[in-house]
Amino acid sequence: MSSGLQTYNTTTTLQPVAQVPRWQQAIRKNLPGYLFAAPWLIGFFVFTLGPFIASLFLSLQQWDMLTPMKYVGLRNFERMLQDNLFWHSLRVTLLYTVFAVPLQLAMALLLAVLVNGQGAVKLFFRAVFFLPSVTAGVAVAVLWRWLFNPEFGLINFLLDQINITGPPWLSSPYWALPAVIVMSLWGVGSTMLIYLASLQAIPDYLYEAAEIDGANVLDKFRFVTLPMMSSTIFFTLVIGIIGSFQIFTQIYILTNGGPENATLFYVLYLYQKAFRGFEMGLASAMAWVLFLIVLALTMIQLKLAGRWVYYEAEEA
Amino acid sequence: MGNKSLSRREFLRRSAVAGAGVAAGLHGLTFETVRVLAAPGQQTTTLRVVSGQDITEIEVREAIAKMYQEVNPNVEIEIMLITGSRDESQTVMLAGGNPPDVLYLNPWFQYIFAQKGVLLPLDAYIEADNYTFDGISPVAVEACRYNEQMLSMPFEVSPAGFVFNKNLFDAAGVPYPPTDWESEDWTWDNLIETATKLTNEEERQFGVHFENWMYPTLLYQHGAQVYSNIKKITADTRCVIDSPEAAQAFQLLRDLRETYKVAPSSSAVQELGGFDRFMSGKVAMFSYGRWLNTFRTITDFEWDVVPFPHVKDRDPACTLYMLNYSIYSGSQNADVAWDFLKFLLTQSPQEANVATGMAVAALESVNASPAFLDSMPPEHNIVYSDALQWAHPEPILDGNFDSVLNPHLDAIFNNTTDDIPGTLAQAAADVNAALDQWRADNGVT
Repeated sequence: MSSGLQTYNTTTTLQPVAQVPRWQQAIRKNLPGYLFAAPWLIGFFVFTLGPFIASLFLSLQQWDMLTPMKYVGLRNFERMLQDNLFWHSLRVTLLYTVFAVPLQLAMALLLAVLVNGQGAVKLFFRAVFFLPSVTAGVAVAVLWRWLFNPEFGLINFLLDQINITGPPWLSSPYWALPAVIVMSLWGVGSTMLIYLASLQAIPDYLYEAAEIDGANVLDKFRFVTLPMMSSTIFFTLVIGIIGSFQIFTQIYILTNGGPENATLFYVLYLYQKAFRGFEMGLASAMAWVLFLIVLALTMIQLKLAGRWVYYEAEEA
Repeated sequence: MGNKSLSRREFLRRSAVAGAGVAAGLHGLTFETVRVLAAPGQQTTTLRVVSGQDITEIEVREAIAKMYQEVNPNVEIEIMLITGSRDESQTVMLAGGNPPDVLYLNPWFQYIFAQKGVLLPLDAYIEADNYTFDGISPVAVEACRYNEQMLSMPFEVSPAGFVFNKNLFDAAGVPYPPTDWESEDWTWDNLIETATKLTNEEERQFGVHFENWMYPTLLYQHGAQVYSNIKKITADTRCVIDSPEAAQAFQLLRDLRETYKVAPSSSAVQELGGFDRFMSGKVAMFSYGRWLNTFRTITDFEWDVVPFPHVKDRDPACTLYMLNYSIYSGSQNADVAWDFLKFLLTQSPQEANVATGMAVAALESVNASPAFLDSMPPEHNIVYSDALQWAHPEPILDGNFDSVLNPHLDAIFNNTTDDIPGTLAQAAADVNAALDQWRADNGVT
């Protein structure tokens, strides 16, 4: 926009200064930032947002990946709701979430409290507890396959030492899911680390004040540690639930949904529908239902968070 | 470090150059996964052929491609290496608009791809060339036919048998089983008797391990079927696994484990596979095919192969596992691809392939050659080639009903049901309901 307006400097010479539009100024100012962020942005648009939108489109199509798509409206959703295995896989996943996530959080918290503080032994165990969480999922699954071995496995060997006959774990439809839940505790190291950082951020004066008020160890944990860590626990709870709904790799390797569909998790069933059943439209519909379930659960948690999560900044 | 500052423009320029370099490097990496064999011809046709990523497989595919190029110097063969699941990788290749000219498929995906119209029918070429399948395993040729059309060419066929640990037999003073599929001395009763002598509970050593997934062999041996027909789902296709003969077949497997206790218990089967047990010398006989090259790394004991026993008063039977070559229906090089497929069924490529020890040749004369009989252990490779006359195609349809059927079979394999006929009846009912749904969804009446 060149409106003829002129600005004047304090000297006697009059010099017209071109007015640069605000949007151009913004681009000039922010361009380097966008360029630096471009690799991530491109990756996000191409590999996340693009497939996300495409899957919504696909959920309304009948598509086997090899022949042209056919628009079927909400038929995929209808079929999904009539499919017993869909409900079964959802139930298996929910059961896993209900048991695995609280166990993971409790175990991570316990370990964080145990290794909190200084000293070589604590530092050593921090590393020991964290290491498993950086192990590849496939390797973990293979390892646990051996641990659960009813004949030679370490778990049944230990049970045998206290005169308990261990179950056949992964080959039993009753024990396979509990076995997977136990296995999920393997990766609590990263959550432990987050808790550890949160623990160390709690100021000592709060504990001192509690001591003056006569608090014992348990009281301090309940009335100081837990409230001060509640925002961290809330974060790990949300992330934990999202992750539990997405469990796939370990199950694919360990049981592939068996025995007798006892570990047919939602995402595994989705994968089977897509790549073994050639029903990409139905699988996309399942993906969207999963997204909505996770979104709803997260919203509920956010709603309930106000009742138990304490944010120091808000208080201030 | 000097104090010369880098202008923003210069920094971005250098970053772009560095980024381009990295991208070029990555591009080079992607080419490492695809072997392009250059041919000296002036005007070349590039044929894109799929191969797995096993190093032995790559080497033999390259060798065969070079053989072909010697007589067809104007054809360049690009070997497309696939990772992970062979079938799913090829599905994604097609879906992603990166189709090969020549696909390498097992019968299940072959039938599914055929049903979707992705495979080029070969009948016109066969007729034009007066091509005959003389000398090629008839059961293999039949497995390549779908809906009255020839949609694949057989390449390698793999029936199975029992590999056995000779040292365990020697230590127990048990004679080796016969190598003749028709031997009257090799029935399941004989096997149980033999396996009993080879089982040592204290040592956790078992006489036999029969893989669950090979159950169709037991069905065929008892005169049972999974489906009323295989390949194309028709209005009449039914799951018939609820027959009394099928129940007998599964009962035999149950008896080996739970009654005679000559096979690892049901609870242990999934935990420690037969392969590991056999490799560690803890099972005397293990059901497997020639394709498992790992057996050839065994140094702790001697091993060989014998046929599966047969059911008394019934013919021997086993299941034929295959990998076939097909031409993509949209290929621009279909003529060359057909020529290549014909070439693959000639003596030299077939010999080269069986010499890797991974398969049995579809061209039966090769199975009588030293390339097959003498190139690799086991000593009695002939057991695998003789199996072809007793081989049945896999019980496969052009849809996927495993997720419905397998949980029921799991209950039988895992001994969580005592009622085998009842479980099979429920399995058949559920699969038939799924078949009805499939027909409704796909307009099959």
